[in-house]
Amino acid sequence: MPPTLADYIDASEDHDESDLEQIPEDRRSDVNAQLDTITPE
Amino acid sequence: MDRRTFAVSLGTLAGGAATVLGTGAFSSVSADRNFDVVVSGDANAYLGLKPHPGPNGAYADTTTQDELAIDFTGSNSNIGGDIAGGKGINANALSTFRNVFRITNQGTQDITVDVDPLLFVETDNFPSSVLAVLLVPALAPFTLTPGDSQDFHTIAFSFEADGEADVSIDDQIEILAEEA
Repeated sequence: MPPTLADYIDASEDHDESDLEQIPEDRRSDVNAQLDTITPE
Repeated sequence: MDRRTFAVSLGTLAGGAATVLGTGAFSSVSADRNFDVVVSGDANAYLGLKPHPGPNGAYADTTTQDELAIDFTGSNSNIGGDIAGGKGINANALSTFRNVFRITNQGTQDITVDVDPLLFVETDNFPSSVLAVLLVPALAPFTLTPGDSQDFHTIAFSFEADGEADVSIDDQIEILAEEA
């Protein structure tokens, strides 16, 4: 299962869930789609 | 061989053996040997950190100290060469760069490598200006056997409410390799 932007933020010491919530949903979806595409199996 | 000659030869052998065994009783030995160590650039060190050999490796520059530097700015020395003039990522866009840099185990044993952070975010009047860069894959940590490599990609996204580039990222990646 490829990581999502939420996973990256969860793993980050400098950012938290509130950062994620302020990024528009469609942008998050775009990033997650890219992560899904380029993350190796 | 007459008896006398044989006896001498035997004596020589015995003496030789005694000489060999006797070396274990030395108190000290002083000898000079070569000991050569060089500090190599990132590309050729035991932990190889280098731009990917593919075209997007041009976004991973090398500093004057021969150190790897991910550089999506106008300072990248490959501009005018492998990079045809671009000096940054697009505003209000999602940009993906496959195969930017490579970490290689160029040593003698398995190593565990950790790369941190994998997410860089810079904001100004959040969320009117957001610039974020992700390193892919998100491995933490991973193991490389001698000769093995791990390639890294980047995803960058920029939101600029006014269309102007207000934020930039100037940070560092920590790459930690330890014996596995």
